[in-house]
Amino acid sequence: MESEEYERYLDILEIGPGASLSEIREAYLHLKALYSEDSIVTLPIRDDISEERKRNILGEIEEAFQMLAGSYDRGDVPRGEQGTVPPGLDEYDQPPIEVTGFGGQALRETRERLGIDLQKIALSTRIQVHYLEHMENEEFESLPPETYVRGFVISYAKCLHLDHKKVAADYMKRYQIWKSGED
Amino acid sequence: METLLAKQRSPATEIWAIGGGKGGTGKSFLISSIGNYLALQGKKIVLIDADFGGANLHTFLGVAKPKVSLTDFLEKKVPLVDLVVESGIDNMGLLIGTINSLSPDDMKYTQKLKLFRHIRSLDADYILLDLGAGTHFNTLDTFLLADKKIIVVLPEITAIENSYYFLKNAFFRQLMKTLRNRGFKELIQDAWKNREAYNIASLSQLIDYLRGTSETMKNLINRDLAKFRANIILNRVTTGQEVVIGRSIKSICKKYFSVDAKYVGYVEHDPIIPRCINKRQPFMQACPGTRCAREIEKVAENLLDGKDMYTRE
Repeated sequence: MESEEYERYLDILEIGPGASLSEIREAYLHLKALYSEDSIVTLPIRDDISEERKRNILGEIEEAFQMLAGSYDRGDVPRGEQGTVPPGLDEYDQPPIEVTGFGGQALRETRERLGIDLQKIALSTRIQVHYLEHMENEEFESLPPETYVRGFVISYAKCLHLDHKKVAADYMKRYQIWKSGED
Repeated sequence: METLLAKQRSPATEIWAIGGGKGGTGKSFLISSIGNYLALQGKKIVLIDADFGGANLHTFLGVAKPKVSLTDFLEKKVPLVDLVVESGIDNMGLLIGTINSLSPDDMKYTQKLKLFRHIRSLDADYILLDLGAGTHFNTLDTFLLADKKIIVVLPEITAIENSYYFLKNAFFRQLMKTLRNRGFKELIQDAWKNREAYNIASLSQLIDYLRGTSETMKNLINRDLAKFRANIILNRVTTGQEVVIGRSIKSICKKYFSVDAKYVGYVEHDPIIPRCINKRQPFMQACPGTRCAREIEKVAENLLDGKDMYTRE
């Protein structure tokens, strides 16, 4: 894909150069929902914008995503000025995380791959950042009592769109092992 | 044009204005907190309450109402710098823009130009303008004076609606000025008078129509649009899901109004903030390290760096 084309598509999806595939997908899903569903952001100007204009915008968003996703699949993404590969490409080349059981590390890796920082998780789950850090580091001794930990894990897992039952079962198993060692 | 203006004043001086149409969105709180953060970094700040009819930033900062007002500057030739009083925060001066008149919006055009010229030449690193609510043309002109134009939005439909009006009106005012200077005044008046015949129901459609009239017009409009950039702050966020609203508003600005915007950050709702305001304590100093304080710092940093919270650099 030509640099110019690549930049134009990224501009349509409103993301900067070097975006990773997951950022591209996230932006695409966000914009598609924004321009096809009524929300408090679009309702105030619903009558200002013609249906044709809306259809054109949605068409452009769709095209931009298909073209970008296709070129990432083929590894055909323009190199940066000094011949550097956009960070997204490296990221894409990595094999998916192998998760055998959800411990703190798997939670962190999943979160980082989704490009979400702890502040955002904290805002969404209302769990304080230092607790989230202790959860990821499995510093169980610094966490509140067990019932709270289970609740925290479930909220965190939901926030990452993971199967919260599976995550809670895995995580609490590790917690129990630590606890039996403590007793 | 912008570079020309930049050369006239000290190269480091930047004017930031905060507006957004709706009242009660937290404009005064945010701009005074951002100012406080910059002042703590050792930057020299002049905070101006540009709500000419009802300036009240002094109450906000817990200092006495200044005895002098803009009337003294406009009518008695008192230098503007003499109106700057202490704000109670180191490195930050305060200028209360009250006009003592029965109709404070009736500032004469020449007075307004003089005021703007003198604001620009104040000695500071950052001059912060806190605008009043509404879309009065004096408010819009003050907004247009700024190098960094900030709008505050709440995750509420009415606040979002008002911010669209505000941005559209502000941009349209800038465009009218450009076009009037180029002798296109009649063309716009004609388009608006016959808007039904031209199928124009909104400002966006008027701009689209004007763009189509000639290549010159199209270039002028596009150039003005490129100059007009907005920075969005989403205030009083209560859930994680709401954070993304700022990103949506930014997209609407770009795709529907062709206005380039940056989403510079959000600030959570925290009941401690109104308590601080009522006690007249500067929030950034009374509650350092709280989530809201850190979010405000992040917003200020993004404004300094010209960064969007979703785009990585």
